[in-house]
Amino acid sequence: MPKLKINDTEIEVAQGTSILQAAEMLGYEIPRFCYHDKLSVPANCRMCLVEVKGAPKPVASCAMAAGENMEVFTGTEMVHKARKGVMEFLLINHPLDCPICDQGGECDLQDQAVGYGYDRSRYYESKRAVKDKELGPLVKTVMTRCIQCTRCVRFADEIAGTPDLGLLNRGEDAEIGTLVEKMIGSELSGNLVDVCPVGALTNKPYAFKARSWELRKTETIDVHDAVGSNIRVDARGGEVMRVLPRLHEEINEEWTNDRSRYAIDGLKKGRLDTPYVRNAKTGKLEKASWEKALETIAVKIAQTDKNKIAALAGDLCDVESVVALKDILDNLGTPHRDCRIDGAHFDASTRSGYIFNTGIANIEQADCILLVGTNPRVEATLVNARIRKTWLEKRLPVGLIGEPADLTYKHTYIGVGPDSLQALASGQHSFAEKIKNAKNPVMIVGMGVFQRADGLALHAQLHDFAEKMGFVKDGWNGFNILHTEAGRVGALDVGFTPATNGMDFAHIVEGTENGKVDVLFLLNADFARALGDNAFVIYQGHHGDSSAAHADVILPGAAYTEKEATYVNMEGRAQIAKRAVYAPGEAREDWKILRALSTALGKPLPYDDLGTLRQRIAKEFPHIASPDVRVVAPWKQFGQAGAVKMEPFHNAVRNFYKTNVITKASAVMTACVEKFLSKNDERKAA
Amino acid sequence: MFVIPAKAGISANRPQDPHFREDDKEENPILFLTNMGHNNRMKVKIYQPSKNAMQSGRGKTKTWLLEYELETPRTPEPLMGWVSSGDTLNQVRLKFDCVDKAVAYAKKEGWEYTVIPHQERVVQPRNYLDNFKYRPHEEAS
Repeated sequence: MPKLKINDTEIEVAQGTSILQAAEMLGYEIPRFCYHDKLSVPANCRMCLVEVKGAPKPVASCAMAAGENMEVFTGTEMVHKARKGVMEFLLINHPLDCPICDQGGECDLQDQAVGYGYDRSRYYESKRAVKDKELGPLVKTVMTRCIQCTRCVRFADEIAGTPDLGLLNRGEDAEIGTLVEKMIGSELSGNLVDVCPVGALTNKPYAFKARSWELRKTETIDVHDAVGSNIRVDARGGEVMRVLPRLHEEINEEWTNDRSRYAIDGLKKGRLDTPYVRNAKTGKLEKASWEKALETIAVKIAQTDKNKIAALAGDLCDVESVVALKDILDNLGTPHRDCRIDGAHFDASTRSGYIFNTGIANIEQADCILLVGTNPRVEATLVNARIRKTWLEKRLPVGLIGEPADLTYKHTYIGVGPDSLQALASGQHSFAEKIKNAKNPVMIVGMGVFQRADGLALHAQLHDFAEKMGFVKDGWNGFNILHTEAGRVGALDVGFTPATNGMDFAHIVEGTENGKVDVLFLLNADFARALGDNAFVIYQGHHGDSSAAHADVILPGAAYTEKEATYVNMEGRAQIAKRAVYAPGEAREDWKILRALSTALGKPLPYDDLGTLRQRIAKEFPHIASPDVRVVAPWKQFGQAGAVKMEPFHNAVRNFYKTNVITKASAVMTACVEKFLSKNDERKAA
Repeated sequence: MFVIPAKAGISANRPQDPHFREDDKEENPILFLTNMGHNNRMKVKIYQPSKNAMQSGRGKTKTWLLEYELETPRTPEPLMGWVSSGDTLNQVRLKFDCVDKAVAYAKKEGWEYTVIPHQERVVQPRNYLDNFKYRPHEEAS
């Protein structure tokens, strides 16, 4: 633990800490371009020069480890002069683009030029120009602005695991490029824009749309996968302009995936902004008032046998609306409800059986990982990034059962289906040895494993497998389910699953055909399965997708950026999303619509504002009441013994860019599908 | 099913209806959609802005902010179509040194507040030598 003095303040830091990091701990900010907390240290921008007593020249503080008895000065005349020199060289070839550059206003070079730039140029030779690169529909390049900090190269190499970028040539000809021109086909490519300290890589769909200082920033939660990434939604007026990640070390670190960042144009297209009621004579959906819509539902429900009413909650539901809907169903006295609208069969009675028990951050403690029926790169990109980070650090063994995939790290492919699990359990496969020798083994099971008829039996089998192979032991729970939908764990936590004698998703959908279900309430539930014509379908949601087309009454709800709502991520961590903008037209927050509906049905729910609703939730489900706490679950028995078919596992998500109604409406995501996914993937996705 | 009182031309108006009475809400769901869901207490959120992912500087991440929650939507104003709002509290941001002071202030005013937890940055010690650190090429067995 070296002890050093920075500007006459003494500090003791961990071995290997750089001077820059030590100075930052004391609150001295040191300018930098190439250094980034989460990336390796190249020390090539030289902006972070400091004076060290005894050293003949200024020292790059990001590269030099703090040493015993070092005396560092960060603000002396010499430091200032050295940094000014560096800045002058950086600006020689940097164009005066600031007024037309998207980075303007939030540019490190711009800011630091205020502190260290000269007010005029001493450079009279011709400037260098670099050809722009085509990196696809998400990242725009203006390569002349590049200052060769190589952050993008290191990000692509280390975090994304798609080593396509590099620094080509040398001297004045040095430029960032892909050698053979190609697009960056990474699910994390949006982060290249963030790490770029200048305007060389910018957000393509956002280009020339807004300036950073005009935007109203709302810190909220992402719903495009079950990771629950922390994001910041930047809105201007009533429009969401862009999404940026924000720091949460236990979930997304400082990254977010391309879907959550770029699918926001889908929030403006295909929205339901007014209630609709199907005209009985013409059979067409017609615009209606809230009164008419709610009354139509109330009349229909009054005429219906209560045992023939069913409800499904979909993938973007917040906890509040699910609880409100559950309360309405309980008041009506119907047990038919489900939230697993992808047709997954698993035992929802035990919490440890359906959450990501280990926790995303604790993946870093693992020393052996087994992936079953999942491609985390597509299903939960940031979980995959975490596995890659761990793999880079330790080169731990990773095994994969299911569809072969490029996971961005080396792994042992074990097999396609349940027979491989048996081979591991019996020790036939050599990977079994590695699991048994591991101290903290982790098993990650994809949703695809349960999207088959024998899902329940597989759930039980996986439970026994986890115990037998040592995934679960004292002080360590390595059994994890990788959910793909943001609303799923929350809905499971509040028990939105079939009550006693209730029908599950498959039976409810069948019921609409065979007359067992007369009224079906869909809360943000969009799925590809066709519904029977005889059932009266109520759709509450924000996009006019396939399910809304079936509906007899449409209640327009609010999307995730438009309501204050709680979401529970796959680790069982409740997080509160904030409202960035208002929903369009007549659309309302989901729980309010349900509260209004309950009045129309004659039994008002006992909460009038969000506070009382949250109190009601906290009373019955206390773990949801404490935001941002990962509530662990005790390990118990789950699943149902039964026969397991030896069919191969299929992944739950095939098309990364099209997973929910928002992404389906997004033109940017469509462009990504065309550019990045092969024809084969597209066919599978359809 | 239910009677909509004549006084309410309500469904289109989102701002609070001055005629709203507490006892109406039981009979009339529409009133609920338009006015309710907010009681009369002011709602605020208290948070510490996270570092902008686009930049390295941390200057503005040290203070705690108290901001009013959006209570009305922004709408295009009729003359020019520019975005407008009658909610002047939208622009108000109060700065506090620490979260306790912000919470105390909100409590004193009797506001409903939510605190967005602050996320601590974990900095892993790193320097140039790490580039040459030995890492096994193959997985450990």
